[in-house]
Order: sequence, then structure tokens, then C-alpha cells
Amino acid sequence: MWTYERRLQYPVKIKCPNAAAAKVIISQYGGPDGEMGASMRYLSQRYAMPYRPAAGLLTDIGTEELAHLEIVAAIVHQLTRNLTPAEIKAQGFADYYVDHTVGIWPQAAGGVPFSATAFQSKGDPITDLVEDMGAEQKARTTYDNILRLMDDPDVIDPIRYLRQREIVHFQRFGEALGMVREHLNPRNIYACNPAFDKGCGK
Amino acid sequence: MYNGNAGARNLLREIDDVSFAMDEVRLFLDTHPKDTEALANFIALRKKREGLLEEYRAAYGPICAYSAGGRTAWNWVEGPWPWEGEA
Repeated sequence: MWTYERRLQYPVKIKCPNAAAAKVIISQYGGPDGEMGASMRYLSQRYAMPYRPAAGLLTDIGTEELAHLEIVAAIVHQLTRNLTPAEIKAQGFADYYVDHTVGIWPQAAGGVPFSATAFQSKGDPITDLVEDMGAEQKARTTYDNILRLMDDPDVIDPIRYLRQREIVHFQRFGEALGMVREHLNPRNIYACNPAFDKGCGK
Repeated sequence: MYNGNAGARNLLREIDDVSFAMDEVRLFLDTHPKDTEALANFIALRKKREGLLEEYRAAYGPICAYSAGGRTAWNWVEGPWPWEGEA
């Protein structure tokens, strides 16, 4: 189960609303390399992970991604509150506003709704961990792209924090991949699925 | 979590800091479970966090859902929520 703490993992305090910035950043809420996909990817992959320490890592990073989802939502929320309809129009937010007002809804920056097709749960621990390393890099690239578009230090600060976490997660998933390779059957040189083909490598 | 209270804000920042250190060491321990230095570090941080959380709960209200309560009214829903950016 999960439980809530009444705090953000990293604080968000934005003084100047900016709907144009929010429209870009919402991609890390519901976009193809966003935090919702990240959390669902790792939490869903746990059940096919036969090596318990790696299943623990998927649990802990999947949980941290939920905290990041909340940070991204807090950024978008604070960037879009107290705007007038005129400001919403001038800042290019009218197409989001017409369907969601200034509520939070998972979509990519281009308006594409969140989709589970943005991630995989393949039932093969080697395949899944390799995907996870790629996913962390894609999220890091997205945060880099966001940082190039931002000039408000109140926004840049938490985005930099989120970017840094992608790098740490990439490192930990790399270590988990090494552990799984070593721990599972060392004769499985063709990397057949150690969660399904019990006799593989024998 | 009470609006505009500097004491609450500072204590919450301390809780955020120690919690983040634990988040980081937890992931490290998942892939280095026999690293006794990291393990000792985690346990020391845990003790510090337990003290700070209790101090916050007694003075300003609950951070963890399981520590909610209240003398005359349900304190879980009092004060700004974290995403409001006002704590």
C-alpha cells in the first residue's frame, strides 16, 4: 500500500504565473517521458522481477516518481493560478483551458493524452531494466529541453532537482541490471527471459 | 502546516532535507545492501527524522497520514496542502 506525506519531496514556490511555461512543463506530468509513465512503468514491472533487491529498487524508484509527479503538478498549478482569461489567451493556454480550465490533466505539451503505450512492462527483467535506463535518459533530455526554455529561477530550481534525480535513477538501474545478470543463471549468455524460461542457459 | 509561520516552515525544510538524504541512501542500499557505512548513515538519518516529525506533529500538525488526529477537530485537513506553495 501507499500512504501520503503532507509535503513535497522538493519545495515549489513560484511567484510569477506563466501559462506558456506551464504548457511545456505539463509534458513531464502526462507526456511520453513524464513522471506518470515512469511511476507506472517501474511499479508494473515489479511482478516479473525475480530478484528481490531489484524489485525493491523498482518499488522505491516507482514511489519516488509519484512524488515527482506531484512536484510537476505543483509547478503547473502555481504557474497557472490567478490568471485572467485575457492572460490565458495571450500566453497561448486557451486550447488547454477550454477543456480543463486550470485543472491538472495528464497530457503531453502537444496536447496528446497520457498513454500507457509510452512505456513497457515486458515480463523480462533484463529487457525491463534496459528500458528503465533508456527511460531515465529520455526524461533527463526532456528536463534539459525544458531548462533551455525557462528563465524564471523559481521554476528552474525544482526542474534542475528533477533532472538530477533522473541521473541517479539511471545509475541505480545500471547497477540493478549488473546484479540481475550476475545473480541469475550465469550460463544464460543468450539473455533469454529469466523470469519465464526457467531452464534457459542450462 | 500553518500559513506564514516561519517556525513551521524551517522545521519542514529540515524534515525535507533529512528525508531526501534517506531517499538517496535508500536507493543506494537497494543496490549495495552490504555497505555498512551507508546502512549506519540511513539509521542515523531515520532517528533524526522520527524526532523532527514528532516535533512538527506536536507543534503544527501531522505530516504523515497515520499520525493525524486532533483535540476537537480533524487536523489532517487543516492548513495549506503542499502544492499550494505557502508552507
